Amino acid sequence: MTTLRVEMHQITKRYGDLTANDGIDLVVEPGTVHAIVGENGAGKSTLMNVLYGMVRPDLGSIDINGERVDLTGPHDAIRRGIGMVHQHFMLVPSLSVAENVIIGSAPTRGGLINRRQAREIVRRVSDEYGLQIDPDDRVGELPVGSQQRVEILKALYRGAELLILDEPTAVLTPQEAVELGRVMRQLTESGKSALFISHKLKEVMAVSDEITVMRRGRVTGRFSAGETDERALARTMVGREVMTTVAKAPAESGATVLEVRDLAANDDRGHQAVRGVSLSLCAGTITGIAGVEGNGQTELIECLAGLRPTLSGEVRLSGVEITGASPRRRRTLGMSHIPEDRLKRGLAPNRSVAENLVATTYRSASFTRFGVIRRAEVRSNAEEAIGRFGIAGRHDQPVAALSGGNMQKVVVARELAQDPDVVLIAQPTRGVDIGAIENIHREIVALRDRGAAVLLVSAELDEVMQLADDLYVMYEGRLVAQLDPTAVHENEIGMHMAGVTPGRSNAESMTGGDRAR
Amino acid sequence: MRVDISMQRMRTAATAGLRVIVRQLEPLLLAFLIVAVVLLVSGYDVPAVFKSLLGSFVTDFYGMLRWATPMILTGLATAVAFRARVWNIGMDGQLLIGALAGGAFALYVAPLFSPNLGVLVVLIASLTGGALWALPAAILRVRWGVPEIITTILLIEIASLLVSWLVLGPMKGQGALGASMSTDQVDQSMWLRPLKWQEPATVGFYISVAVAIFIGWYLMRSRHGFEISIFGDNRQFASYAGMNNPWIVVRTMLISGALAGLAGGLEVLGSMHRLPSEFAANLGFQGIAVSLVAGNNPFGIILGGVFFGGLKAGGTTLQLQTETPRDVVDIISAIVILVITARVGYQFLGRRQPRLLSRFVRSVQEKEGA
Repeated sequence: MTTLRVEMHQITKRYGDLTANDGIDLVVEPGTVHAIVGENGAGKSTLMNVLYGMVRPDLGSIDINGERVDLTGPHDAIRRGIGMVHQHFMLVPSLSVAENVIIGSAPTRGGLINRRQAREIVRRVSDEYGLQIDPDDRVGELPVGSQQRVEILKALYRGAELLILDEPTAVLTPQEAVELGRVMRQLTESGKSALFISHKLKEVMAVSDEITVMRRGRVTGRFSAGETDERALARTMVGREVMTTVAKAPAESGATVLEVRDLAANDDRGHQAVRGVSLSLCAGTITGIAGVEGNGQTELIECLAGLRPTLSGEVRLSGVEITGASPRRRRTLGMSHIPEDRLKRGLAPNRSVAENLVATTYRSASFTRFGVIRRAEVRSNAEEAIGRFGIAGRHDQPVAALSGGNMQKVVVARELAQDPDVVLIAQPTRGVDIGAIENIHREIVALRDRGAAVLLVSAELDEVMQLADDLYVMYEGRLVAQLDPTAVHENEIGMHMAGVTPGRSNAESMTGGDRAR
Repeated sequence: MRVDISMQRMRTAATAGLRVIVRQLEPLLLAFLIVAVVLLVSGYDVPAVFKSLLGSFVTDFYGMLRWATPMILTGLATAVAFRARVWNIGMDGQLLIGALAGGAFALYVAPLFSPNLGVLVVLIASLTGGALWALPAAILRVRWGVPEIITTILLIEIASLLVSWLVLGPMKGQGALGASMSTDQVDQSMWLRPLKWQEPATVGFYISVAVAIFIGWYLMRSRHGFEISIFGDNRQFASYAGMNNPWIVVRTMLISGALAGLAGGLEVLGSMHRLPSEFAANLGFQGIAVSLVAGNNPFGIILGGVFFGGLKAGGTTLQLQTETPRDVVDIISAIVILVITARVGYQFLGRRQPRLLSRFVRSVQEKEGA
């Protein structure tokens, strides 16, 4: 078996005015796990796509085992021993593991696919790297973590010596992430190497040998895992000191503001996604919902915001029943909503910052008189928000011209402007730079301290644990546990997230359970 | 130093402006090019055709304004709808019903009023008629999700048959003969005054321009205009923000239909002075081209309407002078629509657009920058 030593020299890639990669050098030694960390837009994905042959660099070259190569496409990269596991899996759910692995390059006998041989190959590779995959399982029935291992298996089957993984842990539970780390280590023992993108510094520290930090298209630091720590990495990534914990006083809970009883709702495909959720949100409290994505959190929030029909159950806002009420009515009653996918739902990208900032309040007398928009007020409203939230942009710029973080700020500014009683927040820091996360977390706590009831849904466990005063775990449409975020251990939450009920002997879960009743 | 920066800014602003204009002219140029090829292949004298087609901008100034009058209105009807991403393409039907309502009121109701008031009544009737003809499509869309792109176009056919039946039957005029069946003439007191004696353009042109300015103001300043722009940009966001989306669609369709209907009313009072059993001038369809070329901008539509009006007037001269069918003008509009639609399609697919001239402009810009 040949090992692979990959060198990238002075890789430069420009998209219009944006330089995604600016003279990047990167060496991946065989038998190592190499992490690339950086904020969104730092150029990590572009660099990986260059290495996988999907993007041709404007300048620079790639050497594999000392030989200059010109990758013409992913096929070429695969042929040379480079495999990639994308963030979104490319698997056929209705086929078995073995069938998925051999798609496109199946072992044949007499023109027919040799299924037995395929199964044997899958079993052998799975055993060799401890992937724990049964070739006969149907892919659609596997948990996400196993599906990811099927992707890894697929790459290995095609002869990958260097495996690129694009944000592999974004979709995993903590336990699955640990498992993935173990798999990567096992790969390196047989001389293969792994190159993975992440922004979770903790796991980067745990599994990698080498760490390259990127910022704004450049390499700003190279470390060996042994000689650095998370703090130093964060600093190199952001370019300044970063607070990783949020200062937070104990919550001063007030009256119940939002009451949800036995709520049920479908997802877009008509399958029931929320199955009898009951919870109450109190003024001055952050209620967190942890869970692996796709367990009904999105649907729950949309249903509460009035954007998704309620199947059954009841929702009351400050004592008024709002089940089935329109978003406008909910908003006038003091609800606001920071949606998960800001661009898709939270903004009109081609309209100006000022227009986006009044899109929920334009009907009020302060912005409309006799059916005519009061432009001066709309503009001064925008200028005030730009100042208060530090939005880097002008009031008359289209929102799409702002950076991701600033688009986020536009949404937050608008949703918090009315001093809402209830705020639904979904994935507040998704796609946000580390430097800006800090700010958003502070805003959420400040919101609570002003007496708002906050419902926070996040796939980032650290985030929910840090911010929530009251913590639920959602699994398959149900709230399976109510826990005390200050007393519970991450592992226990992870178990709930995976749908496993921890043993009754676990004292922490007992206290949590008592609180729920 | 400061001067340098502001100069540079002005230059970028100027090139950006140039780019917009070039971007809008491109489809036109491309359309002319394709038509030239078609004519060449069919054995026509291409330079003579273009000379006579474009010459009418000068020689038939009032003919140009006469045709600009309805085209500006159907262009506006398109713009209002398209800005909300509501695809009303049945302006021809709404125009017909506007003409029908206008004609009926002019014949049977308006004589009860003084001439000036009568004109007003007729125009209001045609606005209402056009709006009502857009309503079924709007209702089908918001209630049952039937695509308006299909219903509006089907309603054209129904409108056309309805007008024919009424004009050939109940509304048939006394002196109507042979193929040119029509209603009686509208009383001369209600005819719109020509801009110049014995020229085809009337004060209807001023009405169109005034309406364009009003619609421009409406789209940019009114609450509904604001909703249209947000809704047109991102529907999901509009409902998230608490906008009442079905009502936005209905109102948009009503306004769009009313504008097309007004074009029909002006045709009756300004040019035809009666309601013929059929008049297929494709004015609604050409309104789409007008609006697309103007980037759905009401003020641009005034220019676009005049331009296509000139082509239309030129088409008539063309037929007389060069024996080229006047359909050439329709072909040009059709190609303009195709080119712009293709470009929008490319945007949807997220691909880089194949731009001819703008690519050139960009390369010039890059050189300047470097």
